[in-house]
Amino acid sequence: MKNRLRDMRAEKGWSQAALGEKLDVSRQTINALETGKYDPSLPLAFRIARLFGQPIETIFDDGLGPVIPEGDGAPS
Amino acid sequence: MTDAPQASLHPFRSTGTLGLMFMLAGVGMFILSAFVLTWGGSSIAAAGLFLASLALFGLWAREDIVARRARDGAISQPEMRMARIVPAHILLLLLFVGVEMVRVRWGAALDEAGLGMVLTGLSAGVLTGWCAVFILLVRSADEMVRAMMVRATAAAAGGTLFIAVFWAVIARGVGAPEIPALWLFPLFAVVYGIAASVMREGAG
Repeated sequence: MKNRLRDMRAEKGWSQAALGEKLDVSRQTINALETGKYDPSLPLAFRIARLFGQPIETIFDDGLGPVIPEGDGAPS
Repeated sequence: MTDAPQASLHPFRSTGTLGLMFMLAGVGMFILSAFVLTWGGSSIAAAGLFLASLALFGLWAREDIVARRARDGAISQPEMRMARIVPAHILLLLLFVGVEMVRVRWGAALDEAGLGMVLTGLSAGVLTGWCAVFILLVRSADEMVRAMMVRATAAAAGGTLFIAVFWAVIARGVGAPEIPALWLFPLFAVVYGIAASVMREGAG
């Protein structure tokens, strides 16, 4: 799964180790997430989203399009 | 991606080269002590080599933390926990092998002296400790490392089974001795260590 974690981390000026410290995971896990070798669990994905203040779907992209297609599911 | 090593530390240490040399020297000393003890060499030399291997593993554990700090600037809590527990895990494995080697060499004499049960208790205690530390290790790891450990455990179990059965087939053919059940645990631990290292390198 693709994600914007590396760019978002770079914007904040954090090292992989510093981000790992904030998320309580190892630097290795951050590296695996950034390179797409590992997909996070839902709890970790939520922690990442909260840390960066962005919705999960703007950080992670499964390549299948928007979670809620435009015009669908939105309350009228 | 890895960050640049700190300038204040010599590259020999900051890149982990010194730590790797300590570890390889420790493995070498340990194997040497096993040979000396098993094939009737000097007991003092074997004990000296065994203690040297333990000291070298201690130095490796220390250098591993130094190199990680130099590379990353900081070590996250899960990594620090792992860095402290893994050497204890290896130490227990070495102790188990050490106790079993003592049994191979002086087992009969110790049994006569009534110390056989002490050795048996020590083996059982070390084995139980190793399992307890393994559980602690799994609990201390973050989710990705934990998943990696589970995969490494499965690979090590399969690998150990394969080696033992394959060797049994060969042994039956050529009349060589089979692998005693006691040595399946160290074999599993070594295969696990190799599998975990390979997976760890793959994850970056």
